[in-house]
Amino acid sequence: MASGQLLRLVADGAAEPVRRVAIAPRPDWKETAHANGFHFHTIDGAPYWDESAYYEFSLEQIERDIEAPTGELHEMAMSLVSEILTSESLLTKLAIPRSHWDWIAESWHARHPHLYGRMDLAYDGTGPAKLYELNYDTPTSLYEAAWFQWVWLEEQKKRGHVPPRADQYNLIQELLVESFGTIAKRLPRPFYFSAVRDSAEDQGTIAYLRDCATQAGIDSGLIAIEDIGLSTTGTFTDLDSIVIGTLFKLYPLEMLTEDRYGSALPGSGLQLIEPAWKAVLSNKGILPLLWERATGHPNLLPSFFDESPTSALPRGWVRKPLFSREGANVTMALPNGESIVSDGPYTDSPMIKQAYHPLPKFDDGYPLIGSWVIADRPAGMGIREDSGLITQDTSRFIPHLIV
Amino acid sequence: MKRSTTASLLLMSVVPMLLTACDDPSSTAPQITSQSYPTVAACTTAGNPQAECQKAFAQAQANATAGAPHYKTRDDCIKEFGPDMCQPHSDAGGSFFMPMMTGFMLSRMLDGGSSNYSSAPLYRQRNGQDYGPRGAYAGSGFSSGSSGWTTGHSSDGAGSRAITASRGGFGSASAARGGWGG
Repeated sequence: MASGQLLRLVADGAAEPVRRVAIAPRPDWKETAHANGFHFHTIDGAPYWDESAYYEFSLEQIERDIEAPTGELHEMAMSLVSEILTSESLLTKLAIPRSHWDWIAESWHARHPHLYGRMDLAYDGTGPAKLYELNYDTPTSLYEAAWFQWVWLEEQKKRGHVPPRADQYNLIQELLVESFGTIAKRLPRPFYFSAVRDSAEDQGTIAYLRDCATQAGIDSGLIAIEDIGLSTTGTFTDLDSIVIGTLFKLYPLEMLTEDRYGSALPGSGLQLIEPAWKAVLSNKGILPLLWERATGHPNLLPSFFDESPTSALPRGWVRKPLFSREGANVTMALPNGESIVSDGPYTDSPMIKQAYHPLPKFDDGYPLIGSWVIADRPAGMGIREDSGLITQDTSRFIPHLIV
Repeated sequence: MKRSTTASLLLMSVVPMLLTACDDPSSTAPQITSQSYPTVAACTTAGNPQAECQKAFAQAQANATAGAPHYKTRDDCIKEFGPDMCQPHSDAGGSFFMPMMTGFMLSRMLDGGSSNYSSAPLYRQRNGQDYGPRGAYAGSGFSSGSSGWTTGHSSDGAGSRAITASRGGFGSASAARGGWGG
């Protein structure tokens, strides 16, 4: 007890860094993964779920540096939605297609409910967490953070391999189930979960979300995004030609509107989760807008719309496309003159530039914190670690605990 | 405590994902034109091929029971469709009253170079508007280019049966990647 209090004082006073602790993986973790429907723990032959280490935080670090700023940043972002939707110049700056402006605004005015989002934070325990971006439309790593990480801690506690008082910042699933229950009445039926057919990861994630919806008492179906039909009257149909009421799509809104059926969305009556209005938040253009409104905020990095995206990037800046996913097409100009570039398909996208603020390094990994917001409430976190400064789809998920 | 005390999975370990393949590689927006006709003759007079008009009529007739609104009482049906239009019917779900088909809608979809026709039964309401199988769309027909649909659909059609004109118009952009998580 006394030593615990002492540690807290140290953490408050001297800003104790986060710790990365090596630990033996559970010998049966693959069987456990299989029994839990976790089939994408290894991606393209490389480990994705990695429990050979965990990150250790203090309760103060979680509550003061992750949970509280997450709630605050979320509110700041939400307060911008209405303003953006009524401003042609902001919609244009965010590269939202004009053909879908009204549709997006209607989804906001009709208060179509949203479910979740993940903000990416750089944090090492010694200073304020810095917001890299909002993943507010198709955030992944949900199942790993909400479920499998939770199971990991339970099992390691039972087996005596982590401190018995160890805790975790993780109410994600509880809040998902609760939120599904709250929004259920407002969702036209039938209710479908959808993702691209051939992505084991995305299919696993929607299977998990559907599980949560079922726990909230909601009937739903699964359909591959490629299998959705368009009817003669402009509605979207399932494989039995029944008009779909609500579609949970783990598929980017900007891709949905660009696809061949995109022009039919506004007149279709289809309700989406995440709703259409999320297009203005799942957009890196929100970062310069946040910075403009709250310049100097301790959790924000200086960010601006990049008016000359083809010119050389000055040292100390990072250039990102408005719609990039999984770290694609990011350019970093390091202060030492070195530059790091990631490939990707978003070459013709408008860009923002953000002040260079590298991820902390622990052993050989660069951890990025994914802080979850479930229906407006900070809910928990997951950590993905990459071997480079840009977190991509090659990263590994590392569990965390609180002592 | 910062974590949930209990958690469970209901489906995940057992759910099979049976998804059928039906990709369409074409990339332009589908063009649909639809028009309603009281008879096959009216349909051909409007310039449509005789064979398509006949097929459309036959198909609409075959769907006439499924596409009609079903009412518990004759009076309920008469309120919407008038005294001479309502007939008793029954199926596995029980007995009901429904209006007679008064016409059909012919839709032509130009989608990625191929042309598809489909049709739906129509039922003339007392107010002169046609009732279609998915809800109340205006019976005067509609046409649409890539700019959008002229009928104002709302979610009131959700859950009802429609005629699927094509599939595969979503997801093409991601085929090369197989996932879009952020």
